[in-house]
Amino acid sequence: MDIDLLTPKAEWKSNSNFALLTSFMFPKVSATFLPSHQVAPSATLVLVFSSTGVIQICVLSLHQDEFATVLNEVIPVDGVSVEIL
Amino acid sequence: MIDATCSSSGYITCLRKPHSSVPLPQAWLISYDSESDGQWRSFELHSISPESLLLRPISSPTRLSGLSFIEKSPGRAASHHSAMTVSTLSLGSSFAVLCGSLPQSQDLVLLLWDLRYSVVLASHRFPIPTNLTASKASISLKLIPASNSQVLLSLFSTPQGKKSSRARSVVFVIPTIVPDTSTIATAMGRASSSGKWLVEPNGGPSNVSFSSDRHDLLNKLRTTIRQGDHETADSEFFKWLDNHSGSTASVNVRLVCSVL
Repeated sequence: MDIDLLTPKAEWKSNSNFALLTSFMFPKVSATFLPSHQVAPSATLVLVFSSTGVIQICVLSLHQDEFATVLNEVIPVDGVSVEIL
Repeated sequence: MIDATCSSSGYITCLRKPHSSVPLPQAWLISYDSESDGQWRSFELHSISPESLLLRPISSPTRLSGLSFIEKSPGRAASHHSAMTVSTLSLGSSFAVLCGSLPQSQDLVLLLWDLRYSVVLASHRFPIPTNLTASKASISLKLIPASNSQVLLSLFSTPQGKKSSRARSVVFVIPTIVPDTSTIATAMGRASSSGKWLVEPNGGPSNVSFSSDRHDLLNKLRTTIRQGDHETADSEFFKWLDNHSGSTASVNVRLVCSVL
């Protein structure tokens, strides 16, 4: 048995400027919220980024050798305003 | 944000911590609205077509009360500065469990919420095990999914600088039974016991009178639920809520509480 971490099959880089708060991995087709796809994913990854007054939700569909971004949405959260004088 | 959850059905919750007093550059003018302290927001990932996914807010934000991570004792900020004193975990649909420490107490509380209706379905209060440190400020806690009917709660004490002190941890196995989907049938009658964990809108008691249209709604819901048609009861409830809540979130929560 061996694990090869040197030759990744796919790579995804976040475009978020916010810190990663937490992530959730749903194997196979257990994520029932996904739109119906022709190809079932190996897994679905939900990333939650957060910063002052903002959260960003990113949903990735992981296939054998590629990532597909299903959702990437930034949501302002009420209650904080920042003004640079 | 202090914590977030996501269920396999696409229900996402985000728990907001109170604003800290971290020093910031003088050129920054930060305006805080204390109404957002301890807010628990929920969203749903919803497939609107075979190709696209939508993130939409579900109900108005729930503003929590009575937990250490929100409460501020005199002379110091809320206890989230010293350790993780609250944790949340989605149990599917709009069900989520929250574990948090209680202010001025050595106890923890487990709350099973239905966030769609902002009600607590079950609660359990228990003391922090004595083999952990005596100082609650050094306790971190984390809820971890285990199986469909079990949740793990990990408690971890952080040494407080004494050479003799050792890190210790305790893991609880928590049995959980929740329905597959949230319906108004399980939420009805729970609002009064949930009130102690919620901030009253506008800081005062509800001034919404229990008018005849609420009685009519309740009677309609009871009849529909007795007939086993929970789906219709849900749609009747949310249709009524849409017609009465307007656009302000606080009124929405108050109306839900006044009916449930």
